[in-house]
Order: sequence, then C-alpha cells, then structure tokens
Amino acid sequence: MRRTLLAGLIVGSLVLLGGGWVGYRGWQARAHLLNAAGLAQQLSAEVMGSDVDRARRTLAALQEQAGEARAATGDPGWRVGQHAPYAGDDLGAVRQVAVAIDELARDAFPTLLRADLSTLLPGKGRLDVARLRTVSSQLTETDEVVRRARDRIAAVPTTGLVGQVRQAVTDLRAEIDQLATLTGGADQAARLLPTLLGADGARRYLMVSQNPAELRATGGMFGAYAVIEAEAGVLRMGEQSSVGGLGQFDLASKLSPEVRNLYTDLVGTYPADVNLTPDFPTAAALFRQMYTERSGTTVDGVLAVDPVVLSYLLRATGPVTVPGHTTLVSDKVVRTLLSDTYQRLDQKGQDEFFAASASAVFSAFFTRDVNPRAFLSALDRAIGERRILFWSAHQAEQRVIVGNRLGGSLPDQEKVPTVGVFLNDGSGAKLGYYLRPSATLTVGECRPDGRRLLLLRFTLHSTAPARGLSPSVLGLGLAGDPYTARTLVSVYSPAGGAVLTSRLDGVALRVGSGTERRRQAVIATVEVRPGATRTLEVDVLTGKTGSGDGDLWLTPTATPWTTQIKSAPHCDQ
Amino acid sequence: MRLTRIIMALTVGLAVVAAPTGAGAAQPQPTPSQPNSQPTAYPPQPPVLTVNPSTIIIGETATLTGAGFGLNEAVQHAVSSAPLAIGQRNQAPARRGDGSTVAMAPVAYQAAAPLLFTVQADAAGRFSVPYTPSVTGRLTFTAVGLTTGRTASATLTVLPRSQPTPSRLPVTGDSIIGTSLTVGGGLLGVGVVLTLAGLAWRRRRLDAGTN
Repeated sequence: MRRTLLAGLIVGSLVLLGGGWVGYRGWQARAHLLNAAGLAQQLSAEVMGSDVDRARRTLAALQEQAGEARAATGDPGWRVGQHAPYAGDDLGAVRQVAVAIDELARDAFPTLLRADLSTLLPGKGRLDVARLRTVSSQLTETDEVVRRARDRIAAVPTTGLVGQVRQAVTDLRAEIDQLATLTGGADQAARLLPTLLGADGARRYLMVSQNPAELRATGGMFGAYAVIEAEAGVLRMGEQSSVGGLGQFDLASKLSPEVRNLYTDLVGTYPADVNLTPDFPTAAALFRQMYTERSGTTVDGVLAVDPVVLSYLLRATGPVTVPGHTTLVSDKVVRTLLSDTYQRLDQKGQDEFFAASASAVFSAFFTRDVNPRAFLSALDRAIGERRILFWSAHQAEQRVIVGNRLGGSLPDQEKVPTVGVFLNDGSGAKLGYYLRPSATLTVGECRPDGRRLLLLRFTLHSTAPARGLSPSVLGLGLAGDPYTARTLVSVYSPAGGAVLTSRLDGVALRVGSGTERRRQAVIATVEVRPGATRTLEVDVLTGKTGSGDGDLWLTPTATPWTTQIKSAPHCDQ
Repeated sequence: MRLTRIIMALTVGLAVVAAPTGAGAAQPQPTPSQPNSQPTAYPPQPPVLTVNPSTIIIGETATLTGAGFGLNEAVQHAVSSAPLAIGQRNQAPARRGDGSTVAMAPVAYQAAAPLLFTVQADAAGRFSVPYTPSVTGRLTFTAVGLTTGRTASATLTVLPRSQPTPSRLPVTGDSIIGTSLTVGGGLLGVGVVLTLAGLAWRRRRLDAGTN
C-alpha cells in the first residue's frame, strides 16, 4: 500500500516537473518568437530604407532569437510532451512554427539581404545581365526554402489548437503564402529577364503608349510607339512613330469569333481598336502583326505604358524641364499631357512636345541620382494598377508572364469571382481626361444552383466644361453634342458566370452581349453631359462558388477610380 | 510580421530593368483620329443587336432588338448554342467549320425554337422580336441584313430551372478526421487510465476496509 502511494507520488512529481519544464521552455519559446516577429518587422523596414548595415545586425539578432526558439522546442521533454493528450498538438504546432521561422531566418533572409537593390539599377544605359543571373540562382534557392517552410506550416492541423497558437499558425500561414507567391514570382522574373534583355541574342520590342484621353479597355487608345532594341542588357530606343500612320488592315478574319461578335471587325482593322478587348495578349499580338505587315520587321513582344506611369516616375526624378516648353511636374503631368496640350498646341506642336518630353525624362534617369526606393515604388504602383503591360511573342516566356498582373490577361478561371468593368470611348474625342468613374460591387445571395448574385453599381461623372474646348479635344463628337462623352461600358461576369439585367439611372437598358474567355459580357452605351453623372446598375451571376469575396478588374483611367467591395459571409456559414 | 515587404522590395527591384523603357513612358503621343479618314470611322459604335434580359431561365422569353438595318430590310437570324459547362473549364464546345459553336448536349424542353428565322425591319431599319429558347446554354444570335449585308450578334445565357437545394454533405477533410482521431484517441486513453486508476483505488479502499 505504502509502496504504491510512493510510486504514485514519484510519478506525480515527475509529471509535474516535466509539465513545469515544458511550460518553462514554452514560455521561453514564446518570448523568443515574439522577439523574432518584432525583429522581422524592423528588418523589412530597414531593407525598404536601404539601411544595409543596420539590416545585417537586425538579421543576426533575428537568427539568434529564431535559433533559441527552435532549441527551446527541441529538447526531449518537449518531444515527449507532443504525445500528451490535449496539449500535445499545441506543443507540436509551436515546434513547427519555431522551425519554420528559424529556417527562413537562416536560409532565406540572408540571400534577400545580399541581393543589393542598387546594383540592379541600370547604370550608363545598361543592366548587368551576369549579375542578374547570379541573383536569379540565389532566388531559386530562396524560393525553395520558402516553399519548404510553407509546406511545413501547411501540414500543421489547426483544429483543436489553443486560440493563441491557432492564431499564430493561421497568421504565419498567410504571411508565408504571400512570401511564397512573391519569391516564386521573383524567381520566375529573374530567370526570364536576362533573356528578355537580350542576353541570349538581340531582342526587339514595340513600346506603345496608351492614351486615357480616348479610352480603350486596356487603358487608352494606342498613340505613339517606339521600337526598343535590347542586346546583352543594353537598351536602345529606335524608330518612333504614331500609330495613326499605320493605316488600315484586313485582319478581321484572324479574330476569335468571340472578340469579333462583341467588338466587330474594327478590332482587326484599326491599330487604334486592337484593345477594344480587355485581354492584352489579344491586343498586343494583333498590334505586332499590324506592325510587321507595314514595316516588314518582326518584334519579340509589346510593352504598353500610359502617362500616369510617367507622373509616378516623375515623383522619383523630381521636375523635368522640357527644353523650349514647360516643366513637367509629377502632380500636373497628366493634366499637361492629356488636356493642356490639346488646348494649347496644334497637332504638329503636340507631336513635338510629346517627343521632347520623352527624351527629357529619358535623359533625367541617366543623369540624375535617382533614389532607387522611390523609383521602385513608382514602378510597383504602376504595375499594380495595370498601367504597365507586357506580352511576349515567345510562347515559353508568355506562359510565365500570363499569370502575372503585368500580363494583363483575362483569366478563364479565378479564385475570387471578378467582375470586369471596361471603358471604350464611343465619341471619337479626347474627353476621357474629364471622366471620373466609380464602382461598387456588393456580394449578394447564395442560390440553390451554387451560383452567387453580385450587384454592380457603376457611376460615370464628367467634369468637362460646357464650352471652350478645342476641336482637337472634341474630335468627331459622335454623341451628337460634342461636349457629351459617349462611353461604351463593357461589364464582364466572373469566369463561368452570366450577366442578368442592366439599368441606367434606374430604367431597364438594352445592352449588347457576347462572351469572352468563359465570361458573359454586356456592352452598355453611357452618355454623360458636362457636369452630369450617370449610374449603371448590372446584376451578375458568378460561376459555382461559395466565396463571399468579390473583386473588380477595371480599365485604368487618367483619374483613378473610386471603388468599394462589399463582401459577405461564405455560403457555408 | 511583414516578411513579405522584404521580398516585395526585391521583386520590384527586378522590375527596375524596365527603367529605360519606363522612361519611354514619357511619350504619351495620343494620335487624334486617323489622318486619312476612311468611310468606316474607327470609334466603336453602340451595339446594333441586343437581347434582353441577357440571362433567362429556360421557359422564359427574351426580346431581340435590332437597329440600324436597311429600311424594311429582311434580317436573317441564325442561332447557335454552346453548353454552359460551369466548373468544367477544359471542356471545349464542339465547333463548326465556320468557328461557331454548337451545343453538345442540348436539353429538349418544349417544341424546338427555330434556329434560323427571318425578321422584317420597319421603315426606320428597326425590329423587335420575342424568342423562347428550347435549350439551356449560351445562345448566340447572328443577324444578317439580306440587302445591306450588315452583321451583328448578341449572346443570351439560358439557365436550367433551379433544382431543389441538394442537402449539403459535411466537409470531411483528411485533416479534420485526423485531428478528431487524435483528440478521440487521446480522450480514450485518458478514459482508460482514469478507469484503471479508479478501479485500483477502489480495490485499495476495499482492501483497506477489510483489513
């Protein structure tokens, strides 16, 4: 009897001691992990601020903390504890979190820190391709480390975990998912870029500028274009000309029946209309073919940009003086280029001014000491807003680009149901500068057939004056009154979805319709008088989804959109 | 933690190769309308053929409306259809030689709606005609003015009637089963230990009582 009591006491003390030990180690691990989280935040700020020395010290501290956390969760007591009922899975989860963070700190972050951004900036008109190749192989390794960490955390079951631990695992999962998307993208880009820049043979691209004053679905009518030649990282700007000079073509028979049904033969006839469709690869391939037919030379891809990109870049360079003309300032450049120029100059003057602006900004980048950080965030924003688009004529490259925002491709499948609202000018004028679009997307009821209702409310306001605009702004004035902007609004359902009914200012509206890439599209004619606002409401069905999220894909305009998305709970909740 | 920003900085860094091309962005030379204007204007026109509403449920009627055809012109309509195939993105619809699509499995609903019919435009070149489809799917109407040769098309989505809501099956992911097994196993283990301990205790008390 006494012996059993003694044995019980010993076992009890051991369990208590063990529990205490594991608890103590857990408390230690928690402190180290919290420190690591703080340091990671500090590290990212320092990297963004190009403060390399301090970032190195922070990284060293981060590695130490992560290592301690890993050690704290790696002793035998902890391992035994993982088999205990109730708390075992929590201990296991904390262990996995500590290991994942330690691996990232030791194997992923140092590479990212070594990849010095400033060496990637083009100096003396060229980019160091060999250096880029080195960075590329480092990135591939980093990407593998991040993937491993992601798989590790993805394998941790979250049901049954204590609230705090579950939250930590869920947060880390989201962070690492995002990180993996980015390293994956960076890895692909770094592998692709040397080839694109002519490391494996000279390349030739068409760079077109989209003009949001006369709207097209991908941003604006193709205006000027330039041939860019790339060889071993050196970029040269070749022939420059105006798209209008290319004339007319007979490529309607090459169009897909879907595009032809929705946007007529115009898409294959005028270079100014290739981007009536929002699918940039379609527009770019057509434009390339038109250029080849006219010039006899082929190009390897098409790059599209708009003047708003220039306004972002001017923020990095500071004001740029155009000799013989005005000074370009970031805040005013869109107005200068898209409005004032048409008012002030005749067509010949406009062309001269635009060409002079181009070369002025171009030389500013190579002569001034531009802050890389400001410059990078300008580019990042422009790509995010789909104002820089790229298409490669080489299939293997295009397969990589197509999944990226830069590719501007209308996907035929998606995770979040996405409604497209695309604007094409129907007045033949340059009134796009005065338009202020906004859109609200509300996620509605779940339907028994597995689809979900989405309500789009689109408004278009015109700030155009009622008189005083020059003939080159008013253009063809197809809406009757030359000051009234006629916009053909294409509303695309999510992939696999459908468009139900459309109302303009509350009255049922007859709309054109068709399909493109598994989406039903309708085209509504919206005419806005100076100072007026029109409201278009469209009810849309998703494909089969339970998701309560929604997203919008919009034509980038001269003045950014005002948007709002009202999500709802998932249908299973 | 904002680990992502570190990578973001790097990704954008790579985008820097666009720098010289980015400078090219400085030439937004908007071309005003085509210099040598052709008879066909380049700006897109409002739709010529519309079908409203754009989506109906089988059995309902949509209205086809045309405008801009020849005065009193006969306008021929051809109807082709493709299955909805929601969620089956790799399934391409069957294609005719001219590129139009045909339904692979049309579901007969009632007396078949005509797939080819002619409508007379009025003195202003307009027409309006009801259409009640007999199949579900995406129906594409192609209208051809028999005198002017003017062509236009519109697409109607025809949904099947809603089936009664299928009873939702519980989500039984591997991880959930795995976890419940772990938890269940743990509980079972605890239960066994408690029972054994309880038995041993009682025995001891009984023993003590008899002693």
